[in-house]
Amino acid sequence: MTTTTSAMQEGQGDRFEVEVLQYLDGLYGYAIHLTRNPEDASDLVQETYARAFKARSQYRLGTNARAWLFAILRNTFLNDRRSACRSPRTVSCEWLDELAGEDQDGFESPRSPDPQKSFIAGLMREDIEKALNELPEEFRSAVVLCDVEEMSYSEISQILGIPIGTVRSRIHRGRAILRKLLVEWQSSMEGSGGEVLKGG
Amino acid sequence: MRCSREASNIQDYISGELSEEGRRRLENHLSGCESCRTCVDGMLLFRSRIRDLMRVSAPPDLRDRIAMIKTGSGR
Repeated sequence: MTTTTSAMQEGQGDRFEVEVLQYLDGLYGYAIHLTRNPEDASDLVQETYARAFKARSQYRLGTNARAWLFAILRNTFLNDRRSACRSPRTVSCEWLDELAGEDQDGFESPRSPDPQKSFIAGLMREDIEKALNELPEEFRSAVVLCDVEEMSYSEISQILGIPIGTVRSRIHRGRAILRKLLVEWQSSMEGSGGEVLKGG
Repeated sequence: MRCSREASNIQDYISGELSEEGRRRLENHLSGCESCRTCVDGMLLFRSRIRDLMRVSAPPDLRDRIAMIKTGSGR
């Protein structure tokens, strides 16, 4: 009986490990966006797994391991940041509204799709990274989890601890700001790229 | 000029979050509206570019560090 129970627990432990380890790359990618530094990102992921293994009894196999792990990672990051800095950065709503503009502005279609295609194809990782880093963490997290990790609004809501409607609004505005920044930078570099990404 | 009432639906469509009925209605609209179609194509391309550029693999030494936590031999 004891042997059977022990074997079952061991089997469940193996399943738990398989289930949580499949998200390592995604967690590391998200940690890079939060910490903006590969070494800190590795430390954060390591700490996340340490906490997850400690809390494994609280996790029910078959439930959403991904959302659970990402939430641990983000909470660990925010707690560490709070300890390091007593005055966290506040988000200026006016700044965001101005940058996002009316939602409609970001969707105005160009006369031809070709300029936007070549603009998007020409984007480099550094461009996106720089633009993402301009976003406040709440918006950056929503966009990265949705557009890079391809999570549902419901999963993102669990991870960020906010209602789905707020997730939706942050993703919409975050994308609009990203587009705007990238187009503005390209325009300032080339002097003529302002039209290309209005539809993207 | 894109149809402004579709803005929010297009965003949710890109995220894969429109209901089946909403998706069918929007796709029906897209079939007759070049402006919105161009907008959707651009957004899908933009999203796919971001995903391709920003996805990373965890470094091998991090995998080793996690394996050490698993086996309980250190952190």
